[in-house]
Amino acid sequence: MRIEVSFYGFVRDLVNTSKFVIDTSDKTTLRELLDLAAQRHGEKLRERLLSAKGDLAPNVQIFVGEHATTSLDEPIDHGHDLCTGVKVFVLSATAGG
Amino acid sequence: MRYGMVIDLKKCIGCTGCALVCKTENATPPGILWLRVVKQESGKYPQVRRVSVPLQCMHCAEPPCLEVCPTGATFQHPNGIVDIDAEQCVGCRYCMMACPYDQRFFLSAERTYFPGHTTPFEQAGYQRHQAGVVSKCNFCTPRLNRGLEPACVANCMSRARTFGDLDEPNSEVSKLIRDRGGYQLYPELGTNPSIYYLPP
Amino acid sequence: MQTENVQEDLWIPTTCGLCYSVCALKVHRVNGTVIKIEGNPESSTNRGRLCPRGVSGIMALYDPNRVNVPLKRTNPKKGLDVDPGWKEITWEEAIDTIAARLRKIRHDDPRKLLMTGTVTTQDEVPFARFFTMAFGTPNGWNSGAGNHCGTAEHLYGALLHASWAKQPDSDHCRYLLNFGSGVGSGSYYTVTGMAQRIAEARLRGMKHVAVDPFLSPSAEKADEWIPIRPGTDAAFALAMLHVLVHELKVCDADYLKHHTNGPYLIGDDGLYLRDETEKVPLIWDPVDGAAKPFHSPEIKDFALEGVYAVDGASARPAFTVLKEHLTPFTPEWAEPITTVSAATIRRVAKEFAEEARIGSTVVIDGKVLPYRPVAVMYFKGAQGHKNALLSCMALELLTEIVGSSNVPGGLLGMNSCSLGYPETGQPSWIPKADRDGLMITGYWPTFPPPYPPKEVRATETIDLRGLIPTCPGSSGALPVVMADPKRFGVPYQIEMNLQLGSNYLMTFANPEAVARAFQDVFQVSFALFLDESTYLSDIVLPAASYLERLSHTADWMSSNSAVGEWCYHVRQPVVDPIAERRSVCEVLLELVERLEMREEFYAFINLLLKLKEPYALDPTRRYSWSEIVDHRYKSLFGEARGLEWFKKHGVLKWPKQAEEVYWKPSSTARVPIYFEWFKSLGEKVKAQADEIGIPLDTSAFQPLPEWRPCRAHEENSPGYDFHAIYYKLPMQTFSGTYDNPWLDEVCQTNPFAYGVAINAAAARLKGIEEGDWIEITSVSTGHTIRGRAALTEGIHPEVIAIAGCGGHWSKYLPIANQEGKGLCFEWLMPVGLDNVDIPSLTQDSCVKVRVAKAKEQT
Repeated sequence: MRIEVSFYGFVRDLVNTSKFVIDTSDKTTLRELLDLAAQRHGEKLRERLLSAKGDLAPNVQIFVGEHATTSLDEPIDHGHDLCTGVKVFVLSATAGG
Repeated sequence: MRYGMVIDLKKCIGCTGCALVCKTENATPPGILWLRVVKQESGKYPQVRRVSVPLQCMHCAEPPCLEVCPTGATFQHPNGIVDIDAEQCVGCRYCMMACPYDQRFFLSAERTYFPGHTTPFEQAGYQRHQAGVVSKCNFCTPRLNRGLEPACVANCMSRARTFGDLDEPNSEVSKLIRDRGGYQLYPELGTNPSIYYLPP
Repeated sequence: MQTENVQEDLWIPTTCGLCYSVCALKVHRVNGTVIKIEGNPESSTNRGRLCPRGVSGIMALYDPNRVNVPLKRTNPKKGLDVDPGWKEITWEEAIDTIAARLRKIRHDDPRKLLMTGTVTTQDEVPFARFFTMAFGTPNGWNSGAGNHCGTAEHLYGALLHASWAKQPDSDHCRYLLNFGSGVGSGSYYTVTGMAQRIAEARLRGMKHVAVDPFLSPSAEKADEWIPIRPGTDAAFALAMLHVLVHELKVCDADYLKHHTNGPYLIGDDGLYLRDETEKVPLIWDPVDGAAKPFHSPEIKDFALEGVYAVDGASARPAFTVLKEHLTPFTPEWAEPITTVSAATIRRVAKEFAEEARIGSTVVIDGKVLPYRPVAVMYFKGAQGHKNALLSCMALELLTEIVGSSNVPGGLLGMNSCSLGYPETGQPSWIPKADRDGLMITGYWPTFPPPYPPKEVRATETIDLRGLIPTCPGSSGALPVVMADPKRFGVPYQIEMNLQLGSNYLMTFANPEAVARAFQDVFQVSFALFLDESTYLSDIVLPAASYLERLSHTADWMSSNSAVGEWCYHVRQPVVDPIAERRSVCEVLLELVERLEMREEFYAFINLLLKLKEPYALDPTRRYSWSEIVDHRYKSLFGEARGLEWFKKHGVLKWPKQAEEVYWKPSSTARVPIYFEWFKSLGEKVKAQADEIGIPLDTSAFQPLPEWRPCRAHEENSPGYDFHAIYYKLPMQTFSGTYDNPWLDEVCQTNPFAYGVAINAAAARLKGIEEGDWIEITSVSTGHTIRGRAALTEGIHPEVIAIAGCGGHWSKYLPIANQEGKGLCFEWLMPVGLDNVDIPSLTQDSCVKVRVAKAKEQT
């Protein structure tokens, strides 16, 4: 399966190109995908995306196709797409007042 | 029929919105505020009261300004509004001395708000004012003619102002004056103002 | 305008942009000229009325001192008084220069970009945030409000009311206890609507008690004014709490049991007792004599008082811990701190308790709801201090203890709950509970909401918000970190600032220190005026004002009134932008194309504006700003309610339902009266700060309130015998309206607007008479500012009060920059973490000063 991962937002300092493509098995989970990304772009990326406990940081939203995902540990594969797009949004904390 | 206004000092917050909506409605030039708000303080710390009191032409039933006008420029409409015919005003300013409420204003020279620059708003509006004459609040007579309330009444952001017919005992203004103890400023002068205040 | 040459006579619906209230307008245009701005009676936000600022917008539109063309600086030297040597350039040159800089920074390290905005550009700031997010920087800062921001107050808005701001229920409240907020008097949220609603409440007999060092515009309208020493409001509130729970034995037990964490069991370590399996907090059921998970369906009753043994450990309900904690805080304890007599505090507490009518109900829309007609309001006055977090906590607990939170008559979140437009169900947000049963906001205008607590990390932002995730508003740390990022472990320097209308030099603290933090930054300003902060700019772009631009307005939660109707407006140009002025959003869209970041930018717009098919933006084509606005409206309100509909009608409205306004009784989300997580969060902040090597006093991260002295209470240099405070005026917004000649004219009729309020007796002891020029010197900064004395009986004898944010010095603001046009309070305030409440990063805006009659009296 081919997965196209796009990064958006406050992650660009770590992932200078916003996209990368991986060919991998259809059992790959998001966590494994993020591991791969961290191998490629450095451990800082993992720290930005995950909490110390390994959960998704609250300012990170990930979409597989059109669907927002909450679980890192389920396979990404939708079963039918030849190429699955994964979008990783890292929102910035903003100030108000 | 006698137009009058009730200003509820309990509601008024002294924001000066009335002074400025008057300015935009009537395009009065710099230095001329037909309506202003004064602060009156009483008592000693810590028992203190500070009250905002809006002031404008009182449209007196017995206007002292009218008596002293040598040209007849100051006149009274049948509805009670005291007005000035700018064409007849010669700028002698006797009326200003006669007004016990200090609510008449003399435009000595045409000026704009930004020195050396006339904004499009002023270009459009200042034709209504000429130097060398006295002007003042006319209860927004042009608005009344269009069936609208005076601008200061329509805009007041604490809804402290009520406008209506003082001669009509069931009008809102008459009722407020009766029920809430409305009073006039300097009643002892016998001017019988058309503006009443409700106690703070 | 009754001339014969009228070719055009139009009334155009739009919104005001001169403060954060966003009132609905009808603008009268005749032959192309704006001749009148009125409130739009169709909107319940301001009900057809306007404040003095609102009616005066014409003069800001046509002010010849407005920026009309792009400018670049020619003088490489930067400083507070250094003339930039402006040179006119074309838009093309400006955009080329900016795009080249941005491209380089984005490639190098996007975090080096900062965006500073303000609340009067709050329609543009969110869009600029999409830009900065897509760009890849975490740094956005609302500096325009700066020191004037609610900060800690907003934090409790999130934790207790699911809203950014709150209001008393003006329809039903009978007792308003107001600690230094301007509610009803011409400042604070939905200012024009609230002025009307509070005036009506006064008439129907609501008692308003103002606790304030100064007989402020709001306190003037109170039934009772209680002068208090600045920064001691928490002591007053703690003593009231003591009287309520210990002397009067008053609390709303039913509310505390079902809507707060009052029954949660607290162990000796100060943390919740949790059950073994689910790890959720336990409560004590006194009927069964057993501890149970807080959400257990088996609970027969909740214990609020007592000490219980759970698995061999002793535990007390949070309410009991609070009650014991309040034991020492008697009115006698508070008297010497606050200068308010113990008898007065006791009387106010008794009035408050009686008027809360605990147990009573009222029927609204056919629903039986608790009726608690008392509200405690506070804003900058009480919270703008070094003890902000714990002070606000004490003030908020008054509301919680008597159960007057988000019920009829009480304190209402400004739109905590939205069930949406009936035809589409949008926008929709509802507070919900987390695993511990505590409330998470349904909607939060900045990101992320303060609860659940965020992980504490080494700070990656330039304002310490990673390290201190409890800061909800304008961070008091930004200039401190910016001046020396390495020291705070921030691995980059800010190189560029996109400045959206914030005059941060005058709204933060000591302008000299703030200028030092910004002077090496390449600054691009979208500016209405060449104000003080643009002295540090490299490029100034002429911005379209609110009367010249389009937006789907600042449709955030706090621009809708708390009661009445939902109102969504449009902001549309009532004249074409004058000269070369341009809308910020349009310029940003152009920069997006130049930087080739359209795909990422649109992705953020779709995500954050929740644009779904068919309204999602398609990155293969370019959209205009008005198309994006159209998509936004249609996605919320349906195909028939697009931009064209809004331009014509101005406002879309529908009635609020009782369960939206008074949402608490039907909500399962509890709120804390014991802030358990503050304690462990503080420990994490401390550990992280130690690791970075910065000394940080985290002792205020506590679960229960205290009063702690501020810096001004302890700085006692001889001769520095006054506290200086500032307050807001109904006729100015921050520093941004001071060049308006109409507002200037009315300010000159009010001795307090431009002068310095000082107690008459205290002044005379110093030989100061009405109208004298006086000099005010700060013990903290050493700076001296000058103004005219306005003697009054209506101020605490230890205090001087300065209104608004005047004292401009830019030579390009000829009306505002004259001496005597107000004072810039910020000269008195130091920049530094020792002047900041660490958990909320609130600045202390109360300063010890020396006051003397000036030698020169002209």
